[in-house]
Amino acid sequence: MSERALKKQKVSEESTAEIVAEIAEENLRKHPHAVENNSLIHHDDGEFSKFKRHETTAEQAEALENGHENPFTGKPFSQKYFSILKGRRDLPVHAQRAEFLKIFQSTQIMVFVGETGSGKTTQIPQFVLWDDLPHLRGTQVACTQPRRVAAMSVAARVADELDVELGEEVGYSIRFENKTSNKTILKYMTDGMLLREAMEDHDLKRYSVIILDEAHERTLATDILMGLLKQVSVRRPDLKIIIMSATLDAEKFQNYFNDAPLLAVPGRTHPVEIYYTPEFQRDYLDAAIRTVLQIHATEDEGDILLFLTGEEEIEDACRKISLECDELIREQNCGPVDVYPLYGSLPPHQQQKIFNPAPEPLRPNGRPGRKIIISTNIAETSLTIDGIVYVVDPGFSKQKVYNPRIRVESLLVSPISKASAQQRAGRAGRTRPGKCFRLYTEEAFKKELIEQSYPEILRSNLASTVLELKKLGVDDLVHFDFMDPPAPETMMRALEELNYLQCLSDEGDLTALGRLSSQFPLDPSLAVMLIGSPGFNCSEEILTIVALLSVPNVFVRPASARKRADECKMRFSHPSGDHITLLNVYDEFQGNDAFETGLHQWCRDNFLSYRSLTSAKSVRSQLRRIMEKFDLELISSTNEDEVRKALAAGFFMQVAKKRSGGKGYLTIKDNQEVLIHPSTVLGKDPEWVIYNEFVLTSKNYIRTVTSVNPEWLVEIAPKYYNLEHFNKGDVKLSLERIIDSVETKKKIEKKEKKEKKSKK
Amino acid sequence: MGLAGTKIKQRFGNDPRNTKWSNDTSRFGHSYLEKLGWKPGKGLGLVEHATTTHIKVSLKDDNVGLGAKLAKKQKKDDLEEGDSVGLDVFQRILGRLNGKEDKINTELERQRKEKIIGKLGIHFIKGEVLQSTWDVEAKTTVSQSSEKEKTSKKSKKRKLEDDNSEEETKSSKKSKKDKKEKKVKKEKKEKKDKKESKEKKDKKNKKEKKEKKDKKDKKDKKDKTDKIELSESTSISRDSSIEPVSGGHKPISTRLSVRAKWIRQKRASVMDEKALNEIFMVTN
Repeated sequence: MSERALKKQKVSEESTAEIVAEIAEENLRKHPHAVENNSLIHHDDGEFSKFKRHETTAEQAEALENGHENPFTGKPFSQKYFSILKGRRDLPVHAQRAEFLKIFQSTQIMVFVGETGSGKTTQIPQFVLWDDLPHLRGTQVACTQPRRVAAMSVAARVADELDVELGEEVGYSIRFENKTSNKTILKYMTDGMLLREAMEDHDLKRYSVIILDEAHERTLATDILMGLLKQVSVRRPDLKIIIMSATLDAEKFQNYFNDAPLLAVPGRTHPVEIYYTPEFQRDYLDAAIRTVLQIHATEDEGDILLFLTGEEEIEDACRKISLECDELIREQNCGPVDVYPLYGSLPPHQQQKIFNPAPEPLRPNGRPGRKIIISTNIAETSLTIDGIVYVVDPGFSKQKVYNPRIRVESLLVSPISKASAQQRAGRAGRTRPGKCFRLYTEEAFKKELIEQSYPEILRSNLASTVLELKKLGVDDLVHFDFMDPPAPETMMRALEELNYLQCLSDEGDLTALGRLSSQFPLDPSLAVMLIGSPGFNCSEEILTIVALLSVPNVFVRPASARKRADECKMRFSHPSGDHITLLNVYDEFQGNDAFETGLHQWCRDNFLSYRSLTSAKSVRSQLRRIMEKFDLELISSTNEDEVRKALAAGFFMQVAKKRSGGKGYLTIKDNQEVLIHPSTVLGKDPEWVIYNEFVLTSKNYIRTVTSVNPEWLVEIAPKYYNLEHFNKGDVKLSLERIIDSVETKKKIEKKEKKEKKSKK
Repeated sequence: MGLAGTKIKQRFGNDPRNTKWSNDTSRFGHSYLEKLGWKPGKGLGLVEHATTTHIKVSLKDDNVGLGAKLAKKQKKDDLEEGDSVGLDVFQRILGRLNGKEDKINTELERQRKEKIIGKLGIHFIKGEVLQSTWDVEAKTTVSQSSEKEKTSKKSKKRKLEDDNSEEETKSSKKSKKDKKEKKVKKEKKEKKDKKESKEKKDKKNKKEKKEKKDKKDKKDKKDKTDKIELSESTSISRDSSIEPVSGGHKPISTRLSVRAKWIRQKRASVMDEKALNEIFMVTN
């Protein structure tokens, strides 16, 4: 502690977090972590002695596949293996195995296009294994997926196909789970995980082949990886790269990777007839419900998939459709229906229900039953539901957009793209010819929809991306080869935020705090808050709050019991605001009371999401491990003021001040008029608040709000609260007063200290 | 929106776009990017298509479907053309009298279904067909070549569909072409008639003039046919309703013959039980 205090005096300009980070880095330099032994051990009994790497043929590989022993493990193949193998040989990709190998062997980077159902995600990495033979050279093959669930389920499937234990020869690595071993030769992972690995090992030396799957989804991490791999491919001519995409806009990928050769494999889809409305719909929600009912009443057997934008809309539509269908069944002798909602925040067991078979006819020989699934756009790409024959597409989805000027990242309902609309339509043709009903005119399709959805990099706050790029050794952010470069203003905002957080120095170099922050899979401001928290003696509390802020909302507010839910929430409330309220919730969740009642029951009784709380718990323990790894102190404090101070140290850029004489608040510096979201527990309106998010709807709301003392802000981030950068007005005036009072306080303190010293 | 519409009051702050921030060039971010060689007004990266502004999305707080804006633009045209709401019923009868029994039956089936769902019914127009690029029997890709041909920005998928829909609608297109030709003929004929009745000039002169006129007409017609094509493509592909029976199908020389046909149809409709029922709204 004395060392820290000394340092604090020396550099009073630096924030607490910066000091903590510097100390942590110094400690690490003095006592480096023991290097983990992760050298790879692979089975080799000479099965592949006849194979020459990158010169193998499809016949050679198939001969071994048809053999009795698994050449990757030396164990005999099981019965199940052969039955799966038969199915694999029917996949469209299999017909082009030889062609694939020819291109793969002749080039460093290739683009592979396969529609859904072609089997590319499971088969191509295996084709690569048989040719690249990574186990003979002590390397691995990596295949990235945009989603965690996909990485897990595909790895499990491929482990079955190769007749190996999941986690041994075939494994996966996702944010909270690493199921690989030193035997692993094929590793499915999220794109974010590969990016994290690249931060430590810029050349990704452990991999001999890297496959970027679902590149058409253009996630932030995939986009950065593509830019990075383009650079790595120059430094490492031995590294092979495959870009896999499901849509046919492969030209863009080819161009980007210097005219890389392309192989296209078709999917197994059936024709889908597309229908448009003759004129625009005054209420797409109403039209959607009517269309679903019409399909049920008049069309042949087959399940229906309806795309809507959000949870509320979906639940509402579910209710209405169920009611109307009951009437249809009673009065018109229609078949029975099961209506299922599907959205991201739905508990997994309820998500699983969508795979239930459609209901049986009410009477033998009666009209067939039907399953109706109402989903957000997660059913567009992530989840494949067989049996869907009819798709109803109103043409909207909730999309994330970021406005760097007012610093708002919000989910807004906006028209989908043409590519997206086609993807939705394609969902109807998985099992047999289908129909897609678009609730807009053909003209609207042609004129109002953009060609492709915007890649995530154009729609997000880039603060953590810029930090990652810096950590990846990319210094020239202007000339980094982005496939779609982000807007300059977005980049500026990110740089400025990082600079204010002291992750970047004024010269634009990564600071100790920046390096440490990049180790946390968090937004930089949250990471900085966490790193600085030991300085306020409340790292345990901040750890909890950060974990809860990184998971979906823990409060459940069902439409049927809004009032009771609100009452329950008030039981946890803390007068200073929502952050501490979250802390109370978690403490009680971990308490005896909850344990005795049973966590599930307790959550249900208190209108809390069990799923969010448990995932917060696992996020928390993961963050805790990272903190331990870097010797960050874990201290618990009962002083609520200290927790709020620590919060202010991370959220000093997300502050709003009450408007004098007016309603609502003004955000500091950006001067946006906002209101506190009605979900807050705050009873009265405090003068200064920090907020977690700025939500854009018809009114601008700030959500998850806690009152703070402005003096803390001025002390913690003097650079951000530099009065020169403020407009004339109410905020500036009060800040002036605050800064004055802080300074006089400091003077008095100094005087007192001097007096004390002279007394001594 | 009329006076009865709900009044939505929207307040804007002093600087909702935060131009103060954006115009301040002394910021760290701005100067840092400039230091690295970025020029204000330019995009980042090495490509040419780099964006210079963030994505702007307008806020949607109602349930109005896609295409409402387009509809607003076209409202004027719609008024001129006049609504054809009530016409459909009559056309159906005329259609049957013209020997389109099959279509009538499918139409009646549709009506029956509509009755089931009552006011819920929504009409749809059939568009293109989305097809797999995989030929199951031949086990080959269907249209690899079209992808190579492609040079435009259009994604291949779109193009494929266009191809498919072209094939699909070949038959209907043929009929379209026929119609066009017929229409052209008809117009020519009419003009001839007029000319003949009005003036008697030298044939040579006439021919020359005619040629000139034809050229002009062709131009006009081109525009017209374009328009016609648009409207026809919707009416033809209309899955649910029946092709309108316009006079354009057969060359008609005089107004009298139109009138005669009209009367014929009326008479026939009185003879036809089904049609009568329909007219008197008798349902069975």
